[in-house]
Amino acid sequence: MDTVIELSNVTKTFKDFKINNVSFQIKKGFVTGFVGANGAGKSTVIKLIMNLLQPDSGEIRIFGLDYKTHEKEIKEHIAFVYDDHVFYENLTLNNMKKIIAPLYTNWDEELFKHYVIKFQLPLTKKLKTFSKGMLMKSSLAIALSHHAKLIIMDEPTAGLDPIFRREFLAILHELVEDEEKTIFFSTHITSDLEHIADYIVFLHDGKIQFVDELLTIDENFTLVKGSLDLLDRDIEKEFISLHKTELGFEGLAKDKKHIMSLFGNLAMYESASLEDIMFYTKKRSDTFATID
Amino acid sequence: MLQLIKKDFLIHKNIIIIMFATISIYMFTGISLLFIGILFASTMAMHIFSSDEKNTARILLSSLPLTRKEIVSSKYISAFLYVLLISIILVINSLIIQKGFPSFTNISLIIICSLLIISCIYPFSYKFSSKYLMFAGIILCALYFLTMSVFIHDINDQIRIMVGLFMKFMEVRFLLSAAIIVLIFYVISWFLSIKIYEKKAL
Repeated sequence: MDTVIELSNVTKTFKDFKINNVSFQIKKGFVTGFVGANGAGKSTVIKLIMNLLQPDSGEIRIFGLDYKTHEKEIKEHIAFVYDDHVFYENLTLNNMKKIIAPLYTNWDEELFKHYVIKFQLPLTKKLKTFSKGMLMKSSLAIALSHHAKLIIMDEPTAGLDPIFRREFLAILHELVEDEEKTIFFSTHITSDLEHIADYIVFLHDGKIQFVDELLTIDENFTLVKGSLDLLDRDIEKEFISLHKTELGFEGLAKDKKHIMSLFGNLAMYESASLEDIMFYTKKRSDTFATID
Repeated sequence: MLQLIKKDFLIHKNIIIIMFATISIYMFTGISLLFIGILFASTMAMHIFSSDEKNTARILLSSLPLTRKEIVSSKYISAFLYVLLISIILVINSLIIQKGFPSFTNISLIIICSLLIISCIYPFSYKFSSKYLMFAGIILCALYFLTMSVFIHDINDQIRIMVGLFMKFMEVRFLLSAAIIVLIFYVISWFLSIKIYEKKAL
């Protein structure tokens, strides 16, 4: 299986934040969701992947190539959509396209026109008059019109209305049908990923918590509810974190089979969503921070 | 890279028209051609720089199939072309308003001085930010006034005499030497800016 993105022991230190020894691989032909709470470092990792930031240590390879020697070649095959509106706001979409299109050898004018019509984008209005949703659609129209092999998006669904969000997810689904394109996108709207992602990379506080198939995550993680008398110090260690009230406890465990063998029918089990995993992971790190 | 240079003219096409009209007004008032040329060339050089200085614009350009070397180089080439464009506008305006060609020395000095100014402000702006240029200017002004009040009381008169002498003995050979030196300085500044920008976190 081809690897499209490969990060090996990447570290980047800022004054008050650190991307700490991050390693993961993104496989060709799949949709990989990049999740984590706000401030977890998702945008920083995306910037590192796009070579907007250089790591202090570690290695980043895209399509098996290094940015130092193949920057243009790599970026020729990457489509990008950022959370922030990055286009020149005083230009029209048509003028913006005129600047960008000649930079890509595989630019497909017909495909661009197709997306402009599909997204109902005005070509001759200045971009500063566009709504956030329209700007995102414009970014998407440009990103999808040069037959990129890798599509990288930073929070693309933020600011989109629910109808277009669904359409957007359907477009992403279509794109990976031929298994030639790879999509890597960050979001904190985790329900989007539950519709289309094959793999999940979970980042918390600058560190990778896990990289796994969405199906495996669904099979392994579980929410457990029960009465307080089921818990003791050793059993509590089986949970990522716990929420206790006078009525009982609710906690997240990452080994469903093991936890079920411990509690049997005495506890209740529910599927854990990505949001639950993010919530309990954050709670765990907050607890450790308090103890420290 | 050619695409980036085209962009610097496409984005500012309205400014170019306004600039043409404003230069005409300045020339009607009889203000020194040298002053108008340097003022407009420096302003335009900073204007095209600041349009790409926003972090969003930098992220856009650096995400496209372009190297940072090309991004910086296009800016230096665009600034050079703007200096030439302003010189041409000045010549056209002179022909229309003053019914004659401006002096060769004046146009040459406009180009030389403008390139020298750009050579200084571009690396500074890449390293820090163009918004700090004003502070740098204020600090330089303070040093100038300090020099005038403490060390050389008649510094203004001395500069005026020196410039007068300089203009009097200006020869083609001298201008050519100055142009070559400034061009070398421009190229050094260009490479310095590339090095600064390549290390910059966006």
